[in-house]
Amino acid sequence: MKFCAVKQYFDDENNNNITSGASTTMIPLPNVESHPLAILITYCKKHLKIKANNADNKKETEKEMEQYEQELLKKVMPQELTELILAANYLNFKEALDFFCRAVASAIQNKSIEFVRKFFGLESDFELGEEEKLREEFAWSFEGVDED
Amino acid sequence: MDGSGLTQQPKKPKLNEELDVVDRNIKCLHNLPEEILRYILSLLPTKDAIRTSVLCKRWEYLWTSIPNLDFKGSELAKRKHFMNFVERVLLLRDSSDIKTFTLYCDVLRDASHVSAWISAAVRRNVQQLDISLCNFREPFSLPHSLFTCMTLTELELEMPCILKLPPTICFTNLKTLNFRFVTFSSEYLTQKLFSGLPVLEELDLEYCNWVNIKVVIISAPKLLYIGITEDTENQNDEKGCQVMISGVSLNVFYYLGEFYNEYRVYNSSSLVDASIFVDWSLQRQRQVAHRMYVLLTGFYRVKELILTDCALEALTYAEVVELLPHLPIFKNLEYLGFDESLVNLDNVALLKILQNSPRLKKMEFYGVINLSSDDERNDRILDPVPPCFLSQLNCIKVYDYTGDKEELSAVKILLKNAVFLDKMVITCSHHFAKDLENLKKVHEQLLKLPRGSKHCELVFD
Repeated sequence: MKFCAVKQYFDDENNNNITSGASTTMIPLPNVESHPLAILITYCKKHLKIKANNADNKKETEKEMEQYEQELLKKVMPQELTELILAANYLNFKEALDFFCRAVASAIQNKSIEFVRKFFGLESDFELGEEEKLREEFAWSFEGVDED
Repeated sequence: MDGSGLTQQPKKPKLNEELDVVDRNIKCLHNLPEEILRYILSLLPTKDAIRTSVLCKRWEYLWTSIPNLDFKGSELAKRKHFMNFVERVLLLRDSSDIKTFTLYCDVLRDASHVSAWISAAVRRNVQQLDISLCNFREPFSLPHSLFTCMTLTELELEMPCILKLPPTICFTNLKTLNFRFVTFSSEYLTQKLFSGLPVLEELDLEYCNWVNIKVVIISAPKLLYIGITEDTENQNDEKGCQVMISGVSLNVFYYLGEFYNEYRVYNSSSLVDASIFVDWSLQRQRQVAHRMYVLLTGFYRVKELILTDCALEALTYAEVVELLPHLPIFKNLEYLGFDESLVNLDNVALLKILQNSPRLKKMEFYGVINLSSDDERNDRILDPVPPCFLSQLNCIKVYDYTGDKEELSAVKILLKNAVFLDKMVITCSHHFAKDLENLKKVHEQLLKLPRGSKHCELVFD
């Protein structure tokens, strides 16, 4: 079971001797909105399906999964990523969490500071000259960066 | 309810405004929990992760726990910036463990700094270390702590200078070790190094030098793979070093060089694959010949053997050819391959190996096979026919076939005598790609050759 938080819930239920009509049990997920949850469920189902289809061939599984992930990323907006990451984190869904974090990482790779600030929704709160000082200290890492 | 539209209306936008602000805050990536932000930083290349220091105050030190540090300073022009960068990063980095540490740089006169940086990685329990140093303008030594690092599992060290070894060496968890361009100069300490590798599985020695060392025994009980590429340019020592390899767990052996040193593998019962890519050295033919023989005799239990044509030539040199009758039986040998070179099918050493390989199933020639076109003489070459030809050899592959007389003779004699053959695969040289007329002729010529095996298929690739 990929959604570890949900699994926990089921385990708890069984401990309390509640017979689970598994398909109709309602599990409260107060911290997850329906939209990201829907995406996560689709991701999970797709993952399991691809795995089942390519039972012996690990490489095929990886390849197909990568293709699906690329498609998915095209449809997801940066703002949605926050919700998806939070949802995956809450549900303890490790693969999805890893995937969406990697998506964020590759989105900001080699981008200018201004771009990254916009992407994360932040503003600089450095004093005058502080930022300059930091840029100087880490000068080598600023070479060859995509300026906006 | 009865309030005029005027008082009611402003309320609505205000409520929505609040919601928007709250919404925006919740949805911002910036508000993800710190551990997730740190995780995202750990997925970025080092440069990108550290640049986030400039985003805002909250992010200034967020990067300091990234587990993988990658410092590749390639351009001499930017060296000053690079060295300052590494120094600063290591100063600010917190005390959490480092997983992988990569450092490529020109040392010049900063030997003490570089050594201190490596020390810093070791102190933080580094697991994988990849170091490539060059351009030494002063003597350099690695920190002693490196040689007793308990957490190290992988070490790659490229360092064209003398490796100064400390008195205590113990790599308790080292599984992969790769030395490139390193010079070993103390026989006693070098021996200590190669006896202190209890869990080592993979060892690569590339272009290394042994100076003033007569013998070294590489004894790593769990060693599965060893690859040796000899430095053929900086050799001064007449005799070289005798390298004895204990192959208790060894599966694969790879060698490329001109036998400037002597190599022997003993206790090699688990050895499955051996590749000896030896090159001829016109000045030292006797030495190369002897050393080739010595090495080969240790491989009598291998399943797969790959050689160069020079290896065969070396075995037929002067007095070594008289040792051939004593060549062991290769009782497990199922595959014999030759790299892109020219193999003479009437080479005495090749014929002896074939005679001594009762289980040989497959032969592959990546280069050319030749035989003189004297049919009468050729018939006597495979007399007696090697036992494997009669009952085991089921596949022969020839690449780079050009169809000239000598090659045709060679293929002819093989087809005639390999009576157990299932298939012979011939790939014509790429020169034929444009000349389809000739290609067809060559194919027809081959198809007409008599086959000793009734069920033998001739396949053209």
